[in-house]
Amino acid sequence: MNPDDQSLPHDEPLEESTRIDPLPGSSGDSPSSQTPDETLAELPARDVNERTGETTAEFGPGWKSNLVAYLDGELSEQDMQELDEVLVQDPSARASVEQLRQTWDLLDVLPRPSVTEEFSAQTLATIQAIQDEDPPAGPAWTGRILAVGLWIVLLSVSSAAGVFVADRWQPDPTDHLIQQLSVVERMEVYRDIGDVDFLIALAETDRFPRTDSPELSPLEPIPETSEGRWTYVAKLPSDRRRQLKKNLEDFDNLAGPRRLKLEQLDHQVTEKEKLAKIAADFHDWTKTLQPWQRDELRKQRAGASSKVELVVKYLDEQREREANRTTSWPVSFGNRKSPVLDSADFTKVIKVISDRLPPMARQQLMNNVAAQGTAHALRVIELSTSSGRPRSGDRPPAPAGRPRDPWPNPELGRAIVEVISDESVREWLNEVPRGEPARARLTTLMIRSLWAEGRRELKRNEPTSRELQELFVGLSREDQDDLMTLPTSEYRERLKRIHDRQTNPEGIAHQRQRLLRLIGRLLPRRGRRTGNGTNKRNLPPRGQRPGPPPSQSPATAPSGDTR
Amino acid sequence: MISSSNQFKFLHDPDVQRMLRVQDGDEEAFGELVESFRERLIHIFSHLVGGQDAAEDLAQEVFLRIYRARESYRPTAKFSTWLFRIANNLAYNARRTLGRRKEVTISADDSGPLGPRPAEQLLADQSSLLPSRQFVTREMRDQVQEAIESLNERQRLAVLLHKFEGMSYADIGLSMDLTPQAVKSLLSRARENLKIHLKKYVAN
Repeated sequence: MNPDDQSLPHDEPLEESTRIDPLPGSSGDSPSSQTPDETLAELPARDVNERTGETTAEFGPGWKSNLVAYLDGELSEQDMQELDEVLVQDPSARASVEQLRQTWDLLDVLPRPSVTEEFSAQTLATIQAIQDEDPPAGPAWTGRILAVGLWIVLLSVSSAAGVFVADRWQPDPTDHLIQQLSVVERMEVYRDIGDVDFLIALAETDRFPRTDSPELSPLEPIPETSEGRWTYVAKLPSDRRRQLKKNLEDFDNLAGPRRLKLEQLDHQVTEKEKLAKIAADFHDWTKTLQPWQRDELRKQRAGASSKVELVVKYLDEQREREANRTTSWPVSFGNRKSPVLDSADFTKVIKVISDRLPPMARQQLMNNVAAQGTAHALRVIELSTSSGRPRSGDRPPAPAGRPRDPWPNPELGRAIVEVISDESVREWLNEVPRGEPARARLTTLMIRSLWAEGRRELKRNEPTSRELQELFVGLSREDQDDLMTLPTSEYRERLKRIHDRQTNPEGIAHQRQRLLRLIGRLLPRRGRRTGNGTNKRNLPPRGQRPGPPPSQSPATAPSGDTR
Repeated sequence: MISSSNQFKFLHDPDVQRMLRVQDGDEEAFGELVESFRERLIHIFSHLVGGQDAAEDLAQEVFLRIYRARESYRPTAKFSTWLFRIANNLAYNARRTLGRRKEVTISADDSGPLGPRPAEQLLADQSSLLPSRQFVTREMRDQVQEAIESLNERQRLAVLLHKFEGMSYADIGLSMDLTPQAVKSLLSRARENLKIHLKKYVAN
């Protein structure tokens, strides 16, 4: 429907010379098309310009008709020049122009209407009222009628008795929505859950992780009274209302038993906060699934326990992917089979390295006592690797240009391996295929373990939902807008990283560049691997171990013996 | 008909962009349009049909029609052109309904030549007679109001759109279904009429 498409009576068609095509989509029934252009009727016969609407360079008796257009800058260039000449020669013409200009300026004193704030509110309320129903266009006074009607409807529904009477005598689809609001509003959550049995089974298992957010309401509460629900719906943004309407249609199209199950589920979730929390957690988690996984879960009909098993399976797969991501980021270093140290072993190894720092490096470390966790570990490894010869602090530093001793030296390597309690890691370090130096494995182990510890550190320092909420409120509007565009799960992760950056800025998670520099320092000078693969120019022939750097003396060449 | 190739040039109009957002379901954008045009519309309507209440009713009806037409909206003109075209139609309907249409008779001397006046004296007079420097009396305001009301409806609308909306002849033509040349004639006649009604406030 086009707003121009209103029924207007035709009197007489507009003369072809003054008609223009209506705006696309309009019917052309505008007032001006009903009578001939009055300007033609009003003009004296002498004024040819006005009759035809054309301008001419011949300013005879009709030149006055161009004065207004001259003032308005709407004359053609040629006519403008012609009229300029007339004005130069004719004082009366100049006077006419000036009088017209002054008259035009006088219109500035016309009063401006004061528009009440209610106008916008009333207009938008009326729009809201027609949004779902979209009635056909009415006469001009429909706006006020609609607005008044809206208020009448709102007042009437505020009376519970009125609602019941209306229900009894005149069932209304909107009332149906209000009645089913709770289940319809949470339709998306309930679709994934399916029924209350599964939710209870999920609540009873300890294999599904929960978010610790006791202070936050897990699901948006739905008002209990009809009046409250009307207000709730009225305040929803348009897209939410559209979704609500669609949910209601979906709900109504479900088979009777299925509808009953959802209503039972909604009843339990509304009554029991524990179930509401697990429902919210589960719904958030399903957003992290692949579409086909979510679909499989929804289709699962083999019982609550089977569905829980499927959830656990998907969780395990996610954890595995996460672990691979954890150990491979930020650069491809080592491979998936390369182990990482657990926190206890990692702490012991860092202490071993720290104890063997040269005095000057140790002093530097002590100057930065604030560094804890991976910030401390990174600093220890940096100092150790940059000290050249870790156990020879009494020796002068290596002269410029001379390559630094490979890290770790055999003695440090042995000390590191000795404190590692994880047998599988020790075995991995000892199985040196085709003469690969154990030192390379040690550096791989240290880098991967440092990064893994960083991830664990993030997990340990994970903020509560309340802390995240407070953090969000304190962010700039731009950052808030940026975050709000993200999906829920990603939003929380991003917020957690911001929190960690603020509380632990020296942590390894925020020191990517330092980690990359460290990796560069530890890698062999030949055949150095990068995040993009291998430096093929320096790569030795396939199957051969990389040789020592040309300038490396036999005395400092890697021995491969770290035990 | 406006060619489709011309559609793109209107996409730069911020109000067209708002309307396209409305089309995508952005309710906030519609609120912005209401805020942007409500006073202007009511102002125009108050001079076209008289009375604040009637003007507000019509302005609200314009917004309702725009909202209802959102899905079929195509940016083939400036948004304001479209809006005032709807306003023009509604005002016409309202006047017919209320039987308030006024016919304006042009007096015999309305287009008569003004007596010549020395330019020097005109220049001397005008500095003291500029409206911005005059004390705007109630009488003067009433006279201007009367002068506006003395115009026939179409002259009045053309004057209001040009004066207060700054619309070009071409845009007024699109809103009123006239050629730019016809708008030129309409405005010329209207302003001559105004000049006659307000001659006591204009340097003579």
